[in-house]
Amino acid sequence: MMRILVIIFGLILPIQTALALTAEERLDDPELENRARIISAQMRCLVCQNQSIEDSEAGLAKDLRIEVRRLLTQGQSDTEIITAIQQKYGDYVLLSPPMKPETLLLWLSPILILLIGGGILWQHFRTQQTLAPPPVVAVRISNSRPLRTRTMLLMLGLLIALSAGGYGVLVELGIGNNQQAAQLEEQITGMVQGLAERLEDEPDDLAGWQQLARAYAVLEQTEDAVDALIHIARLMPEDWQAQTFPLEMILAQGLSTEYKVQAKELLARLAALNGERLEYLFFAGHYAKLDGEVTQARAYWQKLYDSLPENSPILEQLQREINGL
Amino acid sequence: MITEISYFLLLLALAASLMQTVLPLAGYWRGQGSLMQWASPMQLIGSGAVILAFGGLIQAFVLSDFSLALVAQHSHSMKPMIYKISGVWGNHEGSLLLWVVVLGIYGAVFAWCRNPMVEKSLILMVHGGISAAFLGFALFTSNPFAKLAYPPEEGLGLNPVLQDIGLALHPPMLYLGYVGLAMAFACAVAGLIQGRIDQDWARRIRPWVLVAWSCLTTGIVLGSWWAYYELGWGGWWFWDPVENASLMPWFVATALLHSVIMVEKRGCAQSWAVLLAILGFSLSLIGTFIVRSGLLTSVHSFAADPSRGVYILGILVLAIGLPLVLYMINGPKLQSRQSIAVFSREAALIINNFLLLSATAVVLLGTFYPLGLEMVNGAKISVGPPFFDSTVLPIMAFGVLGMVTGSVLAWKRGWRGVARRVLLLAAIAGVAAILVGVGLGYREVAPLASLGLVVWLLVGIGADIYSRLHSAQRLAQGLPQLGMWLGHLGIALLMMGALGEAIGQSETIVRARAGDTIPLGDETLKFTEVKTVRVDNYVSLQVTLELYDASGQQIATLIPSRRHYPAERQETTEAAIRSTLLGDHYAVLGDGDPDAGFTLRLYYKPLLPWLWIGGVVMVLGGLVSLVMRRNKP
Amino acid sequence: MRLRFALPLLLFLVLVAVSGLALYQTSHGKRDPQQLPSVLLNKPVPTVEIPLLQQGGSVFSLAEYRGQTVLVNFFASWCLPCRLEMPLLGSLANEGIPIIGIAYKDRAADTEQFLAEFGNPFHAIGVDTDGRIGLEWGAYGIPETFLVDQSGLVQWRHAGVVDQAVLETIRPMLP
Repeated sequence: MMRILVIIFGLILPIQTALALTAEERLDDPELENRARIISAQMRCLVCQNQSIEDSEAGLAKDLRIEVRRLLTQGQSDTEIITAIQQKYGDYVLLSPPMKPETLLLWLSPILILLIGGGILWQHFRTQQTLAPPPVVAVRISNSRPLRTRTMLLMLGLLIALSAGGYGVLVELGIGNNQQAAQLEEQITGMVQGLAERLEDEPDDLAGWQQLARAYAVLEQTEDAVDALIHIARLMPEDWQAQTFPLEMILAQGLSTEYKVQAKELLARLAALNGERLEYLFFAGHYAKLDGEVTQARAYWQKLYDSLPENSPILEQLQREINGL
Repeated sequence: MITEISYFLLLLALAASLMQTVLPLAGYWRGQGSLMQWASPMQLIGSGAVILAFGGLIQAFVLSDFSLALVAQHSHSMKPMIYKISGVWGNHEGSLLLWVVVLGIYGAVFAWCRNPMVEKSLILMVHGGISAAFLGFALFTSNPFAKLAYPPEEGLGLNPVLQDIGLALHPPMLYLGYVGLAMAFACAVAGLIQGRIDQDWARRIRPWVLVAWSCLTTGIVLGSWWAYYELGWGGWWFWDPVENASLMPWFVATALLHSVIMVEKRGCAQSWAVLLAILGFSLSLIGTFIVRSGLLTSVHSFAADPSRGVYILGILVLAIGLPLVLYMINGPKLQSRQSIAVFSREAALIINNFLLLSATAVVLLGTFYPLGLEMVNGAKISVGPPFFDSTVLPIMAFGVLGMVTGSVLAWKRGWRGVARRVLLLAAIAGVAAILVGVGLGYREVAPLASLGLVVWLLVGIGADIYSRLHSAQRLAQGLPQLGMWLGHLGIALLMMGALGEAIGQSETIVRARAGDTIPLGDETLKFTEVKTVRVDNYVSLQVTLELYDASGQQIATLIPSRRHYPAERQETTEAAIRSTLLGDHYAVLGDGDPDAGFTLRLYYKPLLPWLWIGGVVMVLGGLVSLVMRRNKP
Repeated sequence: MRLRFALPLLLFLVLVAVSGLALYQTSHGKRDPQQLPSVLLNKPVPTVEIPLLQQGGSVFSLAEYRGQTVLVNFFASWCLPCRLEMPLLGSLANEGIPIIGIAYKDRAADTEQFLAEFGNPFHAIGVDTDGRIGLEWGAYGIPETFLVDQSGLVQWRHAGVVDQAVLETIRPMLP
């Protein structure tokens, strides 16, 4: 419930709801895992609204959870672990503020409130006595006649005149249209739109397209960014990176059908440039996998696997991917 | 055109609210009834105008009129109708208007009711002042009818997390609660101005307090329930500033509910009741301030518009400061003129008020302390669940002890005949429950204490009911107590639900693929299927889990899912919950893919549904009290 | 006895004072709710070894920069805001201020591509594959920039894009 209102009032960034703790993070020893939970529940996720790292799916929270578990398996005590993390991130990371001179008032508050309040109550019970009710000082209000229709209409007219005047003033001054953020976004989108329109007339303006792609990326309009990047790739068919950029984005999005043709085209250009390059093998395999061609994918990746140097850090992950096919 | 008219109507409402404040005040000052009687018609005009304007805004959302900035930012033509409508209050400007509308509805109902003219006009005067402040806030800083010069073709959509029925209803209920307290607040201020808080006053204020309390309870429970099934880790209360903002008025409203009875029945504790009525609404306002100024949301919040914060702070200073000054001056004149025995229901109620107010103070301090400390020495600290759990809950535990004690004591004369026996029975049962708990191997203090308290409360209520109802003649005597019993029973059930989860929850986290079987204690879960379903405005990834009991009988199918909303580029998690009176099976789908398997988080939460049942019973108690009172002569 | 009736007002005034002050500071740019004070301020940099991006396997430590004012910048190719601050960092580097980049949870190939495209303002580039170095530094947001003075003490930390306005605030600390 915590974030409901906050979200409603548009105060926070979209939450990505995914699972907090994944199956892999868990420790096998139930007792250690239980301690890890208890520690994690007391630490604040620094980049979230108000969650503990236990409940959060943010990357940093995950790192901290793993760190907690790593220190636990090293045999550190709960207090040691909490102190270790507090030393890196400060008191802010602790959901339960540490006892310090400046938090003393906070921690003593329940007792103080109960004592002071109780004192007042006790005093009240002890000293109370039956008093005579004080004289009621009633203000004299003259009687009134019921309102007449004519008076009512006059008042209504006055109200309408007042609000009409207010309407004029407010509209004239543009008060209350506090949509700065919207305006700003509109301006940016407007600028980008202008650029996009201009480029429709000058499709060969490479710098313009690069600017547009970057703008879309910043605005997180992924599809538009991909389209722009594809266009750049067509403008620079000899440039390796110009091809890999959009291809990587398309594949990362899971190869939707509308981009299949383009992805194929990009792959073909890469193959023409240098079909032996490891990067190409990886992309080709990834494409085949997403396209459902498991055999092909395995062939590409196996070839990639075989061509990688033995100490390559990605070997293990690749092996897993191949096995997963 | 409709939007222009609606905007104009808001201005009209502002003008009417100003009149509604100025005229009665001037009339009271000069002793002229003819000026004071304008309050009611002005309230009706203002309410009508606000409601019509709100209708205009709803219409714009329903027709997807993207020339309105608000609609363009928060709606989408593909949205289901119900969420188009709930989108109206799913944002700052619209929810502010809803707040004003609810204020208008309460005011209109009150203006319609029969009450002595002078009191009624003074109360409406205060109410009109609040309306004017909030209408001004809406018009001058957050105009919902702001237009876009170049309307886009499609809206930016409503946050998918908000596309949910629990959340569509949660804000209106909460506002009905918050704003209902405004009525009590207005009564209190009017009473202070007149220097008269008597039994009539208590009778006038009580139905509003009951309505507000019931709505507030409903709103909080709805929000909690939403968090439970939507946020995806099965939590339902987080002590977040935003939650605290709704809890504090609830504590105070509960205290007010009890002290108003004292004023009505015994004509004592007037200054308490007045203070609580002022504080209840004040805390609602402070809650609004917390949420909308952006001061207390943490690192990931958008920078809120400071001018908004300044405006609300201004409203706070006037709306809370003036009544508190009035209280300081006139409060001492309202002192209790009845002596109170230490063992009497009055004393118990005062202690109840005191505990509730203490809890409120701790929550308030905990919520604002980080900000205060930052202002003093720049340090940033967090005050989170561990703090509140260890400070507020013990205070509440004493409150629960008092719930039985208070209800068996009689007014004025101390012990009722059977009171000692009821208390003894409840105490023995509570202690026995704790011993059983220790015997079963539980050692932690908090769950044991709440176990004892739940049993103490249940047995105490049961024995109290029995002692009052064992003859037909006493039945009639007992009926007025029905609301109280239900309210207290609700608390007991709610605690039972929370306790069941706290001590009995079991959890399994696995990575599994279709075809896998997952053992869950006696039961087993079969992961049968993964599929993708395309719905109107989202794509849903669903996994099917079949739940079998120990004998191999299938007892449920759980389908947790994850939704992807293309228009908003967001994902939500939809937990699958199977509820029985014994507990909830709760399944959440995590990361993964069909080949590597998905992370599944599976919980069994014993007794958890009683949390919601308890909430419903509490609200029922509030409504019963409302109706019972009406039937009395 | 009267004090009891003034107490609510007094408490309320304290609340208003705190909130008002906070609002004032926020709206006048003196308080950014998004910034957390670093625990490292006026303390030596963490002694953790940082593997270098280029020379496979070799590590470096900030001790090598003792006697110079250094900026340490956590960045990543997947981080869009990081792209925005690269030009400004580039101009700082041109002024002769050594900037150490630490590629946070990034693949080496991506980092190189990123630097090729958006410019490389860095004197040295370390890699933090699993985020452990970030943890040691108490980093909580990418991009994140630390200013380390001549004696190796952290003087300033900023989470988020370093833009012209932010740069102005640290100008006095730069040589």
